[in-house]
Amino acid sequence: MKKPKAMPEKENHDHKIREKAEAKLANMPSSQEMAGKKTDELIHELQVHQIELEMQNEELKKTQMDLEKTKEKYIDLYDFAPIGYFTFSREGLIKEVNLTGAGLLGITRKKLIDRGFGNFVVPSDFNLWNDHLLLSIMSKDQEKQSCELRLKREDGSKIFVRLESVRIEIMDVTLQVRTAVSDFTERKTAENLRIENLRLETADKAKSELLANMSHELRTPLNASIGFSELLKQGMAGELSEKQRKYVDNILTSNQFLLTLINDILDISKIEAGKIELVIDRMSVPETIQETLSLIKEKAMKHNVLLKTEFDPELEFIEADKQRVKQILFNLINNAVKFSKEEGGTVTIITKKEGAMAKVSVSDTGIGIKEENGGKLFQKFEQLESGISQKYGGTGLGLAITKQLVEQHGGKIWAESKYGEGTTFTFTLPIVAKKMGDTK
Amino acid sequence: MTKALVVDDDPLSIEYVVEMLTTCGFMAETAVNGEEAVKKAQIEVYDLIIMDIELPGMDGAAATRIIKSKPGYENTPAIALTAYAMKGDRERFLAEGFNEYFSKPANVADFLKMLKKYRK
Repeated sequence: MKKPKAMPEKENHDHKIREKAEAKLANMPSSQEMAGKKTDELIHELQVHQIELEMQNEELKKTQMDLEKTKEKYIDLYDFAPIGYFTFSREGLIKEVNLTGAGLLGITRKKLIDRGFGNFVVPSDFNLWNDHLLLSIMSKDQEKQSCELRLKREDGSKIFVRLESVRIEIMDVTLQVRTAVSDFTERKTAENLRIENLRLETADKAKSELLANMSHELRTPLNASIGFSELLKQGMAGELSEKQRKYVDNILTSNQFLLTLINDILDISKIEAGKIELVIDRMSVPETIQETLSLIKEKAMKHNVLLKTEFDPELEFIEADKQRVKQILFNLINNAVKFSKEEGGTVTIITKKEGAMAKVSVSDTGIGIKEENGGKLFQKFEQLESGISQKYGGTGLGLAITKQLVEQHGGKIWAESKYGEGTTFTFTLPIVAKKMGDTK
Repeated sequence: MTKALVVDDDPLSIEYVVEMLTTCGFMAETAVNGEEAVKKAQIEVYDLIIMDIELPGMDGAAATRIIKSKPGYENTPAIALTAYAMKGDRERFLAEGFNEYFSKPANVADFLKMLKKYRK
């Protein structure tokens, strides 16, 4: 018998096969018992078989190696897929999971195997998961089932995921459910923000419209109320006694206040509904300030308040809506005078050209603003202390309107104050107006 | 005597305007909606119309348009007295054919001045 071709001894596996083959050969009838010619044929046959086997073996080993490579490749693809892959038992226990899936839950893969997936579902969504699993198991024709729910990660944070599941069947028996899990937290957050924004915008618009309607409705009764008081005052119902005249004046004052309030509400609702259009034109800053001051002079004198101006000679003309700038100035200067101390004080208006902006500040030596109240300043219907309206008047809308008007021009407004010492309001307006549509 | 028609759905507003009209020596009649105003204007010819805008049914502007298209009304002054007090409302109502516009609450002195202007 010829020595067989050298076999690679290094591999145990091959070695064992060889031992087995030797053992088999030993049990076979010895060649001496065979007739001469027949033996030769038999040996030849055996050798052919041997070579065939060796070749097959080589083939197998090569296939095996290829398979290993392919398996590695697919494990890579599986593990690092952009979505999580889970395999669940019928009870919802995690039997297999890729790295992405484990990453979604923020936990190592080892710790996940054989744990119930339900442990990671936000409790209020647990039924969604339960139904989803059940549907996946029961669905006809292995139809793909999907659902969206929230998962609680190991660190406690929550993510929105979409599950897509199919059951795996062998011989018509459901063995497992295979599920793709994709994270859409970012998309969901963006969507939620968008929806929330939309909701707020709609609510805001509805509120503005309501305010506009309300102020319209309020005018009708006020028309008669002011009208009849005026008729009384003018003696159309007979001569009034001094007391009657005083009462009528009180009624008229209150009515006038109501009218101011209605106008302010209308103003703010128009601004908010985007209905105020600025009439932008070239206007002189010092001239506008002087014109505004002439409206307040009398009141300032009554309060013993000195009005001072310091104009920057560099700042003369800007492009703005003069009427609205006057409104801004009036609100600020009027407030400064109104909140002066009882013995009087000084209100100083300072202008300054700062680059492309005109800066105007209104400083008073008045009662000042407590620090904790600073944030309420520009809010609607906020007067800093209850009772302020009775003592100082005003609707609580002035500064909110002022702020909106400044911002609509593309400027900014802010306040600095020391309680008991005074307040400075400063606003800026662009010297060259922004083009329409840029202001928003 | 100058005859005026006052149209408003608010009774107190009507009373107040009528009060001023009679003080100024007008004879005043009233209507509470646009349809009634048109009907009254068909029966009688008025020298002055004081019209609220927001009315149940036909609004004041429409009623005024119809009245003004009737024979004898070509030159009759129509005054809008309305709670529409937004910027642009004055221009809007003047363009719709009103001769004058007063927003509610109207300034009494100005309103009386206007009445005296139209008194015959």
